[in-house]
Amino acid sequence: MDHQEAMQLGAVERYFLDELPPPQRTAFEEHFFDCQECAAEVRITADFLDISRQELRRGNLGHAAAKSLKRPWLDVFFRPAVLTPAFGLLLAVIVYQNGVVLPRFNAQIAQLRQPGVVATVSLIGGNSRGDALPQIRGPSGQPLLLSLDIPAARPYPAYACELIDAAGAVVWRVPVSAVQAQDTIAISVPAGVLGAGDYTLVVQGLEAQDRGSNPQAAALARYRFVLNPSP
Amino acid sequence: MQFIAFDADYLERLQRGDVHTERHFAAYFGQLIMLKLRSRLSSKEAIEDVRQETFVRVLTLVRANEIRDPAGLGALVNSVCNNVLLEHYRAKGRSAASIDEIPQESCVATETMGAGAESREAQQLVRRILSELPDRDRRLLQLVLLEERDKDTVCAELGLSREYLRVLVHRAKRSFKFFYLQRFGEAE
Repeated sequence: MDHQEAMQLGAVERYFLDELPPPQRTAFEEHFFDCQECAAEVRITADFLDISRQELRRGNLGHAAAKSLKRPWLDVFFRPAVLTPAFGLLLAVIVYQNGVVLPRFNAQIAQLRQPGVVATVSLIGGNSRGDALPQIRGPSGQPLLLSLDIPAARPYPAYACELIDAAGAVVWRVPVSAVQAQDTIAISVPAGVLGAGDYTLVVQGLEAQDRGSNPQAAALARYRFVLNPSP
Repeated sequence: MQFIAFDADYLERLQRGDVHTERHFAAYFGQLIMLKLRSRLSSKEAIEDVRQETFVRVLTLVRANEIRDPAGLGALVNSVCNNVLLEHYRAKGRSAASIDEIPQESCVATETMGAGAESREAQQLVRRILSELPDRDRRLLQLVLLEERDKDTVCAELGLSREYLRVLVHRAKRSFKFFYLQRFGEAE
């Protein structure tokens, strides 16, 4: 028997299931003593069948199948002690979202879709020393429009407007292109972003930047204003 | 799986008593001899006797430099084993002209894989393979392997062909083979 014959015959399984007549059995033994591939297959099959006998003798395999299919660490999440509070929490989140969060969002969206008067403050000319600080008064929780000019004494490739509060912290930063800077620009400030107090809007000219480095910024103008929202 | 070549170099190492080579020779052919004998001899002691005698005779031939074809070492071991088996059988007062005439015994339980972590891992894997079989297939293996019922009768009772049994064993061992090659492949 050669290797091809052994493979075609399924000799390994037949050998262990006693399906080979004596001459073929002897011929296959001659072959697997001479063929390391078949010898390996013989040993693997023998081990598998021997261990199978042991495990079948131990029994309870159907039950083991059911256990092996369910991953034990997931079981924790299916215990009533965990499942019940989890469902309760989920329900509370759904009620809160539907009863509180979504109506609030809907009202805000409806408000945004309606035309309305926006409090505006013009910072044009507010850079001059001695000028009174522009005051912004209006109902709180309303958007705000700031208009200003970018100084054109020296052109820059790009600009930025940085709003700084009384404590010196940057509240926000808005990039402005060179084209936008040619006209008066208007910056829309969403409702609720700014509280009462003094603010300074710094206009910066940005040098052309190298790849991967931050551009150098030069302060071109500082516009101060006071926000006094009415209740 | 890596195979060791039975060549002139292997034979030369065996001749000069290289411990590593002798150990490989005994492990490799010892297991094959045991698998060959366990359905022909009725006790572990008889198997061990035939195995040891086979080794003695083969190693005597090796050390006497009487082996002309190193690649034929496996065939020589098998042939010597057949002779020793026939002598053992005849020594019991029974007659057989060839090993084909030696009747099959009930398979002697022998340890092929040994103990240890790999063995426990192998047991768990086989248990899982068996557990995931359909009830009918598991029942078939139980009746054939454990209860040693007549295979034709069992297959007929379960409405299955004998071919089905062979294919079932072939498929079931595939996952085990993958595990086996991963654990022991490099050591071969």
